[in-house]
Amino acid sequence: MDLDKPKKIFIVDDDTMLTEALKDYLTRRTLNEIRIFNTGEECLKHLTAKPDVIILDYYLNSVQKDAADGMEILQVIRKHYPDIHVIMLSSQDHYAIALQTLQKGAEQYVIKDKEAFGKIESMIRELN
Amino acid sequence: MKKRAILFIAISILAIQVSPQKQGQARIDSLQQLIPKAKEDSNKVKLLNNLSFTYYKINSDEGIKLGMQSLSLAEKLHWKQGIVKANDVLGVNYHFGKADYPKALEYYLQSLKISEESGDKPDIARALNRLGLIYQSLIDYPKALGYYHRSLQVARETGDKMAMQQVMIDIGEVCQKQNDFPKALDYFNQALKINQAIGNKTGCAAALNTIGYVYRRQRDFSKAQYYCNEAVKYYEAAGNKLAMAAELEDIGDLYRQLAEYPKALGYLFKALQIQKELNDKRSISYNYGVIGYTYFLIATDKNKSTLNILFAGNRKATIRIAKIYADSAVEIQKELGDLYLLQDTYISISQAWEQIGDYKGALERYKDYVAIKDSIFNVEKDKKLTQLSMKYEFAKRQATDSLQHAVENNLNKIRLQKQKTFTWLGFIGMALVGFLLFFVFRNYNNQRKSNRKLQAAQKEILEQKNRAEQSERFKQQFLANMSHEIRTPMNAVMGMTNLLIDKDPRADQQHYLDGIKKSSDILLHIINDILDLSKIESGKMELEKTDFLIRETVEQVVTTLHHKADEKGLRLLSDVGNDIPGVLLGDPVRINQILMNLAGNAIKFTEKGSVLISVTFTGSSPSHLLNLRFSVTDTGIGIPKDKLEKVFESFAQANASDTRKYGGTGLGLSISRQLVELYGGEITIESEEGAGTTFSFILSLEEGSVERLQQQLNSVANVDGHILDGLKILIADDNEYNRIVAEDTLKSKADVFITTASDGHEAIALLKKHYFDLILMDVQMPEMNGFEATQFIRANMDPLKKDIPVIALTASVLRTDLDKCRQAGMNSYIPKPFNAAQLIRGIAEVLGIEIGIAADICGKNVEGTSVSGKVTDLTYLRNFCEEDAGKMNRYITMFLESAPVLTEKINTAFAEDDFIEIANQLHGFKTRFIMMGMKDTGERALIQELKCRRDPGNGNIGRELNLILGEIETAVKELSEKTS
Repeated sequence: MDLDKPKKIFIVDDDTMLTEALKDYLTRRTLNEIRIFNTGEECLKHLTAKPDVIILDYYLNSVQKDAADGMEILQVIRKHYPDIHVIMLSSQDHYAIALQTLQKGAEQYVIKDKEAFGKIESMIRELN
Repeated sequence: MKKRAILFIAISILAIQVSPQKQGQARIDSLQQLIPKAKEDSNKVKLLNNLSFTYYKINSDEGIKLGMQSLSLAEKLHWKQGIVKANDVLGVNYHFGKADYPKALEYYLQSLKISEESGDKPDIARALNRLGLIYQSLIDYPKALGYYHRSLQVARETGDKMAMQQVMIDIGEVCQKQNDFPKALDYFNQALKINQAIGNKTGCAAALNTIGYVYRRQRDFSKAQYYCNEAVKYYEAAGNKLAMAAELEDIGDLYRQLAEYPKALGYLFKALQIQKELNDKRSISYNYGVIGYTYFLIATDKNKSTLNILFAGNRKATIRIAKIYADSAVEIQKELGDLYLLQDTYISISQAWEQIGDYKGALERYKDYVAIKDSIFNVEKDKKLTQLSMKYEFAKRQATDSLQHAVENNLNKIRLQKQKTFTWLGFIGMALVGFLLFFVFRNYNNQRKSNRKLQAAQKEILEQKNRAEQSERFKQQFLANMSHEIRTPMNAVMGMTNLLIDKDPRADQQHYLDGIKKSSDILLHIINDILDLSKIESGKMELEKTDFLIRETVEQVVTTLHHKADEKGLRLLSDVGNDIPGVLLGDPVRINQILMNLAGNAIKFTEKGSVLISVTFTGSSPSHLLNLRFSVTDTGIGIPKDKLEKVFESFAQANASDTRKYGGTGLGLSISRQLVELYGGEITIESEEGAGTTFSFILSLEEGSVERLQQQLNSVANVDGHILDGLKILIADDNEYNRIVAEDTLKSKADVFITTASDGHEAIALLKKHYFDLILMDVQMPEMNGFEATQFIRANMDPLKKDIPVIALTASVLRTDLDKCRQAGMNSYIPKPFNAAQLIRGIAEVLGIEIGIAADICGKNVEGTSVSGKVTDLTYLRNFCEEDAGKMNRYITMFLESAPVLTEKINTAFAEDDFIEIANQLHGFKTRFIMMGMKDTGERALIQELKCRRDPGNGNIGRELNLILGEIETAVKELSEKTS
């Protein structure tokens, strides 16, 4: 029996393999409701759906050049929806960037590596 | 519902009656009616005195007028008691009405003198009591106590219980002010007993009140409460409503301190009601302040029970009411012109507003507070001056008195002798007295003269001191200005030179650039010399204590100077004794500076032969300090004996013409000597004209630690600019060239986003619109300088932006200027001219980014390919999909579909030199590498991604990309087999 309450989760990343894999991973055990957005702008349009958690990539403009980057999106989310949990996802193993995102209101900062999915899952579980 | 009710209460309370003070006025009216009816003049005096006394609180000008009328009438009648009383009421009017203490003192003293003459003890006791009060007002407690005790003595003699209890309370009050609580309680209790015995209710209440106050100051609240409540009862019984209200207010305040807010408000409103009946504006305003503050406390108290019970949990409405009360308090206090009350009110409001985040309101009230504080300071200064001038007047009067006394004594003697005999002896006596008088006066005159001389001398000394201080200030200011004026353009010159040198110039250009670099180094060196000297002279130079390699320090001198030596065909040698440890603890920069000056000098004045820098161990002191002898020996022209001392003087060289011949500021030796002296040493010279000179000095240094040094070197060596990647930085500098230097220096080392502003206003405007991580702020800018801009940001920006880290870029290295940076709210400073490492380290420190934490990924070994033969490993994917073959196939298919797209995009981008696109493509593939278990390829791709973003000019990228694409091709083959 898994007592985890299902959550509404937005995944924002332009890496399609990642979003797919993360979606799979987060729905293996729990009936989480996952929505995937390849740009931050898309995600912002759907914020009224009030997700519990947003998993947000740091670099969001590697595919669409004129897209806003993760930090900008983070700030918009924070301004209008201070209650939504944001987990920042990045391949940058840099203290400065981690610090920056946390200062801007991200709850967690996860480096994209093999352990990333596991970490994200446990973080979401801890939000209960 | 409740909310509206609260507001209604608040507004109804605020309606203040405008009618004059009823009680006092009624008394005055009745007295005035009586005056013309008074038949006997002595009765008229009595009435005038009473009337004058009544006026002191309301209109002291009128009080004084009436007092003067009374005094002249009493004098006409030669009625001493009337004169005494008139002097007393005049004193009271000047004392409590006008706060004109010297005038008041004069009348009180007169009152005392006449009552002493007539021997009227109650009058004497009263006058003494008043004198005590005036000294208490002047905070001269010993004098005050002196008069009080004399007054108490007189009152005891006559058994005047009323007077006794009054003085006892006064004495207790002084004790309380001096924090002697047991003594204070003793006197207050005595007063209470007397009052109870004679049934004086107001007196009892006053004594109880003071006792309560003492307990309150000792934070014994339950006792304080008991006594205050008792006091209320007595005041009520005595019908003294004003005092009763004050007492109720005190109790309310007590409950407020105990956080029992409902009770507190209950008492405060009870008090307010009475105060309003009496229309005592001062008390009303004070009470408003206390009530407002209580509301505020209720609104902000973590324990919300009071807020919930009284105000339905409506925090905003409660704060609004608090504001209304506070503003009303201010209004009335302004009207009353009571500076002390206003000061308290302003600061309390400011603190309260700050606490709830109303910073604008807090700032405004704080400004008001500061303004009031200034004017109070002036008032206090006047009081102090009054006190001093009173002391002076008193001493003068005493001096004249004793002189008169002496003269009168002598004259008396003469009179006596005259009466006894009219013989010549009398004449001799008179002559003697004459002489005596002559001497006394001469003495007096001399004293006055010498006093005058002394005063003049003091004045002159003071002026000289002021002049000296002023010139010192000018000097400091001049140095600061010069330092800034020169350093600012130097920053541009040196920074741009470095940027150009980094851009691979042609050989001839490199040569010129080296020339510019060296020359600017020298120029900076000279400026630093001048500043160093001023620092040493003003005692601001401090020696550092860090671990350093002594051999390296000496070698550095040789390396720097050997070109110069070579040019002249000299040998420059160094020798550090084998018995000296490698690492020492000291200030390597300063030791280098001293040796550089001495050796540079030696080379300058030596035409042939050699210059030797040597360090020898001469023994260790008991405290484990190593005594090291540093010497610089040359085979030069030598220094004439008579000029040996002169060489150390600032700006001096042995011959004035040498300056032109040898160059230099002539400051080097002077600085060296003073630096050695800072180390507690001394530079000695041995010189023989034509044979050479040896400069030497002994320093006592501790042995250093190799480990510490290693750590230090590690942290300095690898300042990796990329720790700052991704930061958004605003640079504010009015000098265009300096903006370019700062921007390009940062961009050359890190992937940062830079925005620039040319003054404070522009910086603020940009900050309002955009987000930045940090501001680099030049200090001196036109329009709005860096300090002002920072202060503005700290005070007025919205909460998200007001704490943005600000680093001052300052050309000044003077302590006073750096203090200013901190005062303005800047987080740190970077001195100009700066190099890239200083800039990066400075920024990293302020943002709390660990220096050197990011290992240099690009430096990793990237050669060598995978040896296992296989580039993919599906263990991870299998686990991830929990052996679900269908899922696995889905991911593999995604990879297979995207691989050719990636290859094509990278090839196209590479052909177009679009390295950012390559980086983006590699970045987008990261998860695919992980999912397919392509560990090596993933790492390689990450390294290339970073290289593409930072250092795309590097020729290896093409080869590395081919390697990656080859591995992806292999992966496609391997995975295709799996799915098929």
